[in-house]
Amino acid sequence: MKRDWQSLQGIMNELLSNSFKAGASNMESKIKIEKDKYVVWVKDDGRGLSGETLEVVQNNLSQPRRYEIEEYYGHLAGRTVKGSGLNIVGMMIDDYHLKTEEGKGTEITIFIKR
Amino acid sequence: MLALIVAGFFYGFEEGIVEDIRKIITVPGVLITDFFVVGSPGAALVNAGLVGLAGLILTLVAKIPVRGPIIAAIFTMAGFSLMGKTIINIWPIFLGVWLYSVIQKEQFNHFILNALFGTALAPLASSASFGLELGIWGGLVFGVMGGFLIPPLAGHFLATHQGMNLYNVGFTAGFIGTLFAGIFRAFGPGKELLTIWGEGFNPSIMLPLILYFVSMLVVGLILSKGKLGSYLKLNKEVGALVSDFVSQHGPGAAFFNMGVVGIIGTSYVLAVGGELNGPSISGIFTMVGFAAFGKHAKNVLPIMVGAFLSLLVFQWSPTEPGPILGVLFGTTLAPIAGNYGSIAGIAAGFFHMAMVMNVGYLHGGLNLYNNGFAGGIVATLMVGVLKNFSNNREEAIK
Repeated sequence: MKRDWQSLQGIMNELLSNSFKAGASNMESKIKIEKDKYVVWVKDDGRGLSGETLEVVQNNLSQPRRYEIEEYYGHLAGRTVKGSGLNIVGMMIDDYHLKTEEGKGTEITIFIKR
Repeated sequence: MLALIVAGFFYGFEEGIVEDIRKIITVPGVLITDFFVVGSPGAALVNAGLVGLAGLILTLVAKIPVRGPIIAAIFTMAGFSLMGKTIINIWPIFLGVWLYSVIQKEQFNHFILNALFGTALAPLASSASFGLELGIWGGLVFGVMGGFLIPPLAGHFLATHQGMNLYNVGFTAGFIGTLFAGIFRAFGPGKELLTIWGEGFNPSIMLPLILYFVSMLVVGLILSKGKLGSYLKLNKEVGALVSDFVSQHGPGAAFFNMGVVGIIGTSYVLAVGGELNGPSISGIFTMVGFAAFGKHAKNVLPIMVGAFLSLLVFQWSPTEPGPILGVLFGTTLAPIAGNYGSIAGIAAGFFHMAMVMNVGYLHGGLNLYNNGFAGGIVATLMVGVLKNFSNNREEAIK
């Protein structure tokens, strides 16, 4: 469980840091521990995503889960300087939902099997 | 890896394959021990191929897909099997990582990267067995202890440089090696640095090595169907951990990039009049492996330029062992150039040379990735300062 909450904390940090970078002034976040999965949710009123940036984000989050990366490099989630944060998150999760509108904000829900 | 074994038989042996490999596996193997000299070029290449294959087979048995990080780890293992790792001394490290996974009640395959990169500490086993003369069991105990410490500490140290030092296990193993070297010295035996550096192999090694990297360019082009678009995109990556070029840009672009980076490394050694031997080829192979996992021409060149420029003012000559390795392995700091630009990259290369020539004593050569140790210190210092001058709000989310 300790390892799980450390991973969840890193993922949450990464999502919130992206909200800050998107210029959000209002952010909400939630973690739910369910019987078979963890759910991480973040909503912000930042710039939103579109075009190539949206495509990169979707590609990063759509990667298959890679436990060998998660075990070693998962410690970087939420701590990267630039560039590879969501890439690492994408390798640590099983599924995601993304709702975003340019100029209005982004809502992201992440699912991780227990 | 098979090509390395075949090449080994092509180059031949001095006293036969068994005797030459026996010589290699019975030395402490601390930095810098050139297996071209201790055994023979043939034995060193066979050893490198066997170690690389061992890593590859372990990966396949663990059912982990061979992508960027695994390619980097296998090439690093094979490269360092020309100067320190042997088909014998890597196993205690694997055993230590496996023991950690058992105690943590996790599957071993989750720790495969820790196990492969963790073989940086393989000389710990050899040094205990053959340096301290503690025999096979002594080597096993110390090697297992080293391997056991890698998984918890590798993740811990990542955070300090925030993914900007590609040889993170080198940074980690540097501290572990420093602990053990301190203990060894405390009991009396000296852990003085060693330099066994082969000379005169350039005429026979140069052409096959370049052909090897050219073949990577050809394979890359074939896999990319002759198009270089993905490769050009790859060169725009920052390269910080975790940048899996195989997954992100395809195997064709990654292979092509590996060929380019290999040619850059080889060209540097030849241009300054350096020696192509076990240690320098190890440096080139490690660059090539990490060309699937963070390095490309655009982010390695500023580091190499900075490290080389430092040699114009520092006391060392560019052809000396330490400086040759410092320039090649200094590319562990490629993400600094990728993220903060070429000037920062040149500065990183400059600082790296000063650092790497100074930290080897701490671990007494027990950590083969000495440049990863030095690079981790430089990256930690530079990132700590530079991140406060970058405008995060303007950074794109990727």
